[in-house]
Amino acid sequence: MDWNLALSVILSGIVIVFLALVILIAAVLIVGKIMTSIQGGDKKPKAPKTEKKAEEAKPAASAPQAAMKVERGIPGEVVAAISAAVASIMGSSSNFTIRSVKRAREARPVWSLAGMMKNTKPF
Amino acid sequence: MEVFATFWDSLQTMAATSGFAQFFVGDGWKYAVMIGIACVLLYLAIVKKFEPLLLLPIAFGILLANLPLAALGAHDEGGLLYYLYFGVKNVIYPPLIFLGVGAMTDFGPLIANPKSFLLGAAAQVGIFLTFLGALLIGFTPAEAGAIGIIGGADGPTAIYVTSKLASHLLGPIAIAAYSYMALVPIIQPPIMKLLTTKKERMVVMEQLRPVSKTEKILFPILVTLVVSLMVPMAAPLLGMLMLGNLFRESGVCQRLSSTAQNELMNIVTIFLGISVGSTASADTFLNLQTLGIIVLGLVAFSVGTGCGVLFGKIMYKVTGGKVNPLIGSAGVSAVPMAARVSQKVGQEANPGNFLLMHAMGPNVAGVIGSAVAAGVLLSILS
Repeated sequence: MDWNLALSVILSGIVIVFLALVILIAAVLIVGKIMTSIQGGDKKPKAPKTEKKAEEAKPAASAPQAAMKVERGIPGEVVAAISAAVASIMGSSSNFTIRSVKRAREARPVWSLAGMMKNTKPF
Repeated sequence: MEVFATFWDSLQTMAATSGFAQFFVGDGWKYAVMIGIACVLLYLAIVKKFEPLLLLPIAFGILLANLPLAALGAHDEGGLLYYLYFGVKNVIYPPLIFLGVGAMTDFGPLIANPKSFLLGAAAQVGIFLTFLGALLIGFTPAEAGAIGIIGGADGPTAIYVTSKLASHLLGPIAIAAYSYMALVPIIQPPIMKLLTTKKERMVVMEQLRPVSKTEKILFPILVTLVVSLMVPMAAPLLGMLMLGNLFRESGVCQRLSSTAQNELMNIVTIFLGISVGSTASADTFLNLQTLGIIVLGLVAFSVGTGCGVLFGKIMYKVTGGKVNPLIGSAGVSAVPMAARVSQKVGQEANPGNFLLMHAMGPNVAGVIGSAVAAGVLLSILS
């Protein structure tokens, strides 16, 4: 058996396969960065503004009380709807304070989970 | 009475020159054994549903090629399968299959998580280690290269490399490659469980970012340029794979994309399957070499799976537990079966875990990786 040939095939094979795929990783990452910077250029300035607006609006609405902690990304309309729902259950006369609004940390809603199970059932 | 004598003589002549009689002449029993093997493969395809679209035409090709006196083998000049075999001999079918595979593949998960490429590369290590094993057993370097590529778990690539390096081994290698691809759900899970802890298998990975249409269109062009310029021998396979993918992603070639995925793919699969099966004639198949190839194929497959999982473990450590090592085993191509196995084993450890899309990244990277490995073997050994 020609050990020189064997080892050179193994070494060059593994190195070239890894090298080719590492270059592809770099290429895909660069294209991804360019794409996000092109798209981000249009969208980024707008997105924080709307969030800020929502954040500003909330303390104004509940000015007399302590500031409510609202998780980033939850729009003001949702906070208003949650507050209204709580108020309707608790009764508008009762005293309550909503201190924070957070997303539920459950993995997925039940229907979403059922759909996911159906689509990813392996065999 | 003379009439009966003549009648009896002609009956005897007919019987002696029939296919049945050939089973009892010289090595004729080998035909019967091969027909038996064909029937077992047909059973696996039809009843057990092991890759039936491929296994059924391959098995029937074996049956046809081993009918005594029918002269339907791939090497029997003038027969139907002799001409169909031209597409294998001149390596036309495998790139056409890749065209269809490309049109069916969504590279989105790979673009969203390009690190998956590393897992696709790691799983190819099995190819090269099996190459060494085959050399040690006594195969020539070209034959060893063709046997090693079984570890890429990619049928068309295995046929492509074998046709160019060791066409006399095409039958056993193609059958080993497709059989092991069908057996992925049985071969991989024990190796995956052996090499990982339950904690690692339970890791839930972050959701993949959405990928824009432009990125998906640029990807096939980029891969073709990078890989084909680096390893020109991989260009026919990768070029066709990426052309098919561009048909799909461009959105302007719906008809071509649909033809590549359906009609063309089906036609080529029939021709490829039957002509590969017809290479497995008794005299080339029933020997110790075939047994060696089948054992080495299993080694190649298992080592590839193991290397993928081990590299997944490295990524698990490096990322501080964000990568589930189970997706590493999907680095052997076998799309999408290997990714489904990752999903299944992951869900056994943590029922709320969905690894399928994460595993599709290394899975499709494995297709690219095995094509690169094929290019390397061809450029050194041919």
